Amino acid sequence: MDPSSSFRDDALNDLLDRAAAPAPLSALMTDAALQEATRAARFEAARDVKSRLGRRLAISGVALALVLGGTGVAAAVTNFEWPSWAQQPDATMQITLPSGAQCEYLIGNLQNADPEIMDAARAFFASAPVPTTAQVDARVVAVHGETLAQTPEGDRDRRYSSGVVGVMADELDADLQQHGFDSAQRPYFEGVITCEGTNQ
Amino acid sequence: MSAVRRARDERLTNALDQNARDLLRYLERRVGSNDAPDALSDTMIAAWKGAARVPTNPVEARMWMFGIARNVVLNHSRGERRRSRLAERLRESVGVLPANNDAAAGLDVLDAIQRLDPDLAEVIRAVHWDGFSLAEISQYLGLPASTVRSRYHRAKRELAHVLGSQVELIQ
Repeated sequence: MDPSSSFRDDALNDLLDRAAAPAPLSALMTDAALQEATRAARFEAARDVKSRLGRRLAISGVALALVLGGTGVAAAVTNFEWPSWAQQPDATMQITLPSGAQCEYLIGNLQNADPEIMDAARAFFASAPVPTTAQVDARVVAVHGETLAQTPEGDRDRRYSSGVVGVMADELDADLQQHGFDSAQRPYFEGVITCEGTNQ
Repeated sequence: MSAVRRARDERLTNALDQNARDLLRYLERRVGSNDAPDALSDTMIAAWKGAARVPTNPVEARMWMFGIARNVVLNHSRGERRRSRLAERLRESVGVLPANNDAAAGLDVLDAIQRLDPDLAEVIRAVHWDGFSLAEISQYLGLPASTVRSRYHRAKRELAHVLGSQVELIQ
C-alpha cells in the first residue's frame, strides 16, 4: 500500500470524527427525564395497541380507566390492571371531564431517594386542592398552544386529564420550593383515573 | 401479570434506561434537536410494542433498539412525523437549548456526508459519530458484515474525492 494513502485515510478519519453534528439536547437531558420517558412510552404503547378495543368498550358503556404515567402522559387501557399502589394512594380526587364524565383520580407511587422530599410530597398530596378548570386550561394552553374550548372535541377529556396532573406537578414544585427543596428533585409519581361515561 | 412478561418488561425497561441517552444522541444527529424528542418517543413506543422480541443479551438488545431508531429516522425522512405528549415532556424538561457556536465548523464535511447515498451516509455517521464498529452496524441494520464493509469503503472513497483538498491540508 502506498504509505501516503494510509496517511490520507487517517486525515480523512480525523475530518469525519470532528464533523459530528452537535447534540445539545442529549447532553442536557436529565437521567430522570429519560427514565420517565421509558415508563411513559410503555403506557403509550398499550394505548395504541388497545385503542380500538377501548372505543368499542366505551360505546357499550363500560367504565374506562385512564392511566397517567409520570407527570403528564395519558393512556386509555381497557384490560386495565390496577397498580398495587392504588390500594393506598397518596391522594384521591373527584374530577369532572369536559365531556361531563365523573372520574376518580388516584395519585401515588411516589419515588425519590430523599426521605425528606418524600415526606414533603406526601404531605402536599394529602391536602392538595383539586385543580380548577382555569388552572387546567392554562396548563393545556402552555403545552398545546390552544385552550380546551379550541381543542378538538375528541381530545378534550384526555388533555384535561393530562392538564390536571400537570397542574399538580407545578403545584408540587412550588410547594417543595416553599419548603426549601429544589423543585428539580420533584419525586416521580403516577396517577390513575377511572371514569364512567367517557368515550376517550 | 405473568412472571415471564414481568421479566421481559423489566429487561426492556433496563435496556431503555441504559441506552436512552445514546439513542437520543443518535436521533438528534440525524433528525435535529427539534424533532429528536418525537423520534425518541416513537422509538421507545415501538420498542414497547415489540417487547416480546427484545433480545435477552444486553448487547443484542442495544442493537435491536438502534435498529428501531434507524426505522424511525427513515420514516422521519419520508415526512411521517407526529407530535406526542411524551416528547413534549422531554422538551419541557430541558427548556431552551443553548446557541450552537460551532455550527459553522465542519459544514462542508457535513454537506459532503449529506450528499452521499443515504445508505452510505448512515455507515459513515455510525462509525465516526456514534462510535459503532462495522460488526455492530451490520447487526442493527440487519445486513451482512461484508455489505456494511463495502459500503463503508465506498463512502470513504467518495468522501476522499470530494474532500481531497482538505485532507491534503491536514497532512
